[in-house]
Amino acid sequence: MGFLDTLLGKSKLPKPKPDKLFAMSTAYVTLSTNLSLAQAGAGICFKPLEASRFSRAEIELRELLQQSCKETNTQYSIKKDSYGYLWVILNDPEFEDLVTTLYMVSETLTDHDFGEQLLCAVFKFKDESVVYWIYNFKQAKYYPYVPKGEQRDSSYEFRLRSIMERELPIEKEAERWYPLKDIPI
Amino acid sequence: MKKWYSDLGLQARMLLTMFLLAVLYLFFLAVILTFRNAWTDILIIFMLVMLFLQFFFSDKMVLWSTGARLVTEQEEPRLHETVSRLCAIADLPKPKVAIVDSNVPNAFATGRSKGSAVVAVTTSLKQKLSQPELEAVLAHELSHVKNRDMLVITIASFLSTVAALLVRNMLFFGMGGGDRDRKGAGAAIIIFVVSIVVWIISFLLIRALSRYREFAADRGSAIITGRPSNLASALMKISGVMENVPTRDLREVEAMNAFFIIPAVSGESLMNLFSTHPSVEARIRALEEMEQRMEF
Repeated sequence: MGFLDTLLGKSKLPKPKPDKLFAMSTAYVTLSTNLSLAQAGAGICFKPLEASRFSRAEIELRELLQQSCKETNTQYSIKKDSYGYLWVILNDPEFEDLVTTLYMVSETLTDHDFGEQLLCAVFKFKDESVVYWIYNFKQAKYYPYVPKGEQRDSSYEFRLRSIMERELPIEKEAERWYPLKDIPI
Repeated sequence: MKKWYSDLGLQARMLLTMFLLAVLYLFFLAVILTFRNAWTDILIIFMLVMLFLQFFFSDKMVLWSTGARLVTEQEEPRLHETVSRLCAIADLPKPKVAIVDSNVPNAFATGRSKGSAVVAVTTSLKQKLSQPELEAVLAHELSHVKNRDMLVITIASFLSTVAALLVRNMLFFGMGGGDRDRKGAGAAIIIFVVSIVVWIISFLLIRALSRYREFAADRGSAIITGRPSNLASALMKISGVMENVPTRDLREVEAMNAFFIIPAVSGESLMNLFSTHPSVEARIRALEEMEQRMEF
């Protein structure tokens, strides 16, 4: 935000940068072979706006999901969490299809001018514990999130970071590694 | 950028107010520098030190004076989660979160920079508002942080406070110093009169600026949440409750008015010109207008 914007109290939301989403498709090879993490679905979370334009976008989104998911055999569902955010949740044994469909959803929302309301994309993985990789659209960065009861398993998260640093664009400031409650994936 | 994001009229008024303040302050400084003596110098140096201290300790001072208590993620998971999601959307570093034990439903933000900001809500606000309304109020406070309103108002008030102090001290103690000849007395009278004028005009301008910043933060909240109507209903709920709150409670929090989402002074006893916040009706009207423009 520029000086003048601050001086005049102008608000702008940064545009989403979905391109780095694809980094996950290559990173998945390392995640599954070196760390034996198995993928368990993915999702994209956004804040629904209150406008009739948004309901039109939602209809189009559903049509698009129906069509492309039929082609790739991806299962999808749309859920609302207790914070009022909408989730598009995808399940597919083919990891590549998950990433592509997530990207497509983000593009559809952006085309309809709702890209600024994208919160994040989430990839779920499993070994003994559940591991999430969260993609922040505003920063175009990933960060790991490993919930452990009410807390989080920070040491595992930092280990994940050091292993994946080369393959994924990882958020450098750990203060921005926001946990995410209520992940419906 | 979407059309309803900006309000050119508001920005023009804000710019004009700041321009007028700058002109007024330049005039004031010119007068002070022309007629200054040891006493005004000391006062200004003293005020600069105060400003510096305020700049660095304001967040702690505000927390201390309002009795706000910082809460961890474990204590208030929902509140923290709501704030961090809003921060992720607005791309802001997450501020500290605090709670004030109070029957007055209110919220405020403080801190000199985005990194050291604190957002606080009262216990009553948390109880009375629904999740979307609470979110809208938090987004309003985050917009204050984003727009650095604390800093803007602190800087804008600096010379105004100097003028006010000059007037008060000269009234009670005279000009001070041994310089009692005619020239010194003339200079003292000029400084006194100019200070009064600067004090009054800057007071009104700062109040206007503060109201414009409120409108801007309302708009920021609508942009972050995408739902102007949530803030509107939160404002209605808060103001409805505010009127029924006993005045003793209100007086305790009155010093903090400029930072609250709705000032805790019951009744519309103050003229709008003098108040730090625009009327709730005007704010709701602006929010409704945003909502209509969103559709196109």
